[in-house]
Amino acid sequence: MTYKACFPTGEEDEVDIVSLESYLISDPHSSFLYKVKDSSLRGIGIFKNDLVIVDKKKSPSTGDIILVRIEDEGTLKIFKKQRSVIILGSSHPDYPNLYLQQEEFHILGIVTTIIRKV
Amino acid sequence: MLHVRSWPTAILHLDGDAFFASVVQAVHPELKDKPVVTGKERGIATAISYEAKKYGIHRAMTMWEIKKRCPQCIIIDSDYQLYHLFSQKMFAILRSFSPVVEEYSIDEGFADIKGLRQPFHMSYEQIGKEIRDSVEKSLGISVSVGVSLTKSLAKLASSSNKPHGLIVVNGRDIERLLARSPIQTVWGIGENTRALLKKYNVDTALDFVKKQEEWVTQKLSKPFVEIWHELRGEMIYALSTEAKTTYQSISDTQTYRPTREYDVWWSRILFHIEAAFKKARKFNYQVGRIYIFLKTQEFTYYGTEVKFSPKISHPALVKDEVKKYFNQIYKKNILYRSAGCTISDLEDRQIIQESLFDIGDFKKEKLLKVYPLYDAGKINFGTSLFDQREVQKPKEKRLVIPLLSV
Repeated sequence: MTYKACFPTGEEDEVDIVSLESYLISDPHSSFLYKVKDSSLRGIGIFKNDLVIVDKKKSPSTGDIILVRIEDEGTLKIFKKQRSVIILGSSHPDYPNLYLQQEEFHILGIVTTIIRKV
Repeated sequence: MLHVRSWPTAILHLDGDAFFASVVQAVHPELKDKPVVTGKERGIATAISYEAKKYGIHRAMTMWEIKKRCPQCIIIDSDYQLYHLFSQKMFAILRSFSPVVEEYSIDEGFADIKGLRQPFHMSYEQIGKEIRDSVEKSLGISVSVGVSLTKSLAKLASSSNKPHGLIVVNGRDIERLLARSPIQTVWGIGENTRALLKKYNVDTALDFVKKQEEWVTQKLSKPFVEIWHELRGEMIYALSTEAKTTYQSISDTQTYRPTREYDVWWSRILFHIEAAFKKARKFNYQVGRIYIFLKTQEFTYYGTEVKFSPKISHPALVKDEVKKYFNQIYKKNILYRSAGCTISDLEDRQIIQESLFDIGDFKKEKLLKVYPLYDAGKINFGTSLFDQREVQKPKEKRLVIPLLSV
């Protein structure tokens, strides 16, 4: 049995005062806001109208959530690379995984933070 | 001919490529690689993307002419707040490499990078590339970089290979750069000087530096002698790292809680005009044009321009005239979210005689006595109409990041 909720361990218990800015935004020079337009990542808890912070400078690796432009539309996808094939995954039954060529999409940045008001 | 060591000094020039249009394309990725022109709210082009330049569109061209030349051109409003934000971020990145940075204008600046090779373990070329790529990757805009011995040479280098250029010219390569640079591409050489030099068979920057110093001193004034030295790799112009002291225009704008109130927006416009003029007076400028605007909740701009001849430095004197123009752009029942102004056509006050004020005009004399108190921070304008806390700019430095809309 664990009492994680009662006795936080690791990094958390060192947090005394936290600046939300520095906690949420790792690099202010390359960070942009983006308002989520669809529910394709609902399964991993990213909903339509959530605000996300996108870092333009980082390069994606497998498992990262990325903001991509496909045919002039912006959308969030899960980036997966299997050898030379790139898969843009979703997390919603209505949105199938996409197997696209490099020139068919453009990566606008990597999602580093999700912001949602209750 | 020139005997210059490789790097007695090292100056980097960073220059945004079609900056305003590039910024718009960065936050609207769907506009990338498309012809984009900003300035819709003024009816003339204020910035042209490289894709639109191919159609022969230039600054100040009317929207009507643009549509004729390039029907598929995307014409949008200017967003000075956004340009300013990107500018700040661009200089912050530059400062992360060197503390000695000059913000020459909103979209270009210099950095002294002498001595940085060792701490960064990079050549000057690698540092230049790192700065260019860092700005481009972080902000999604295109910039060009030139590295050389002086400001004039660095600027000549960066402008010789746009967009997305990187040109590094050490002391031994100066002549090659000068040989392929027409004299009018040199910073500070205008059309008249070009025409004069042409009469002495000076066509390129190299022809110019080959002339003896005596010859240059006889034929031209002091600034051109300085340029002559700069082009020879001798640093004359130091970097001015203080706040900027020469402006082509000054803007002041802010976003507020949306409201429709006439009085509130008129006061805010006045407030921004006063703030911009305060800055203008600080640098001893008189002002020929005031552009005022309101931005709606839908991000549409409504603006108009007022011209003054002779130029002015105390806006309260022309308040009634400006109000007529404000009445043209303000519409009842529209929800506005920001207000601001851009003052331009600036001229040094010493050059112009203060001819505006008729001696004996009692009200004007009184007003003129008030302004020194305002400039000294002893009084505030606009306190009576609404809560001062709402107008004053937040003193705290807040982190602002742009919104991507795609």
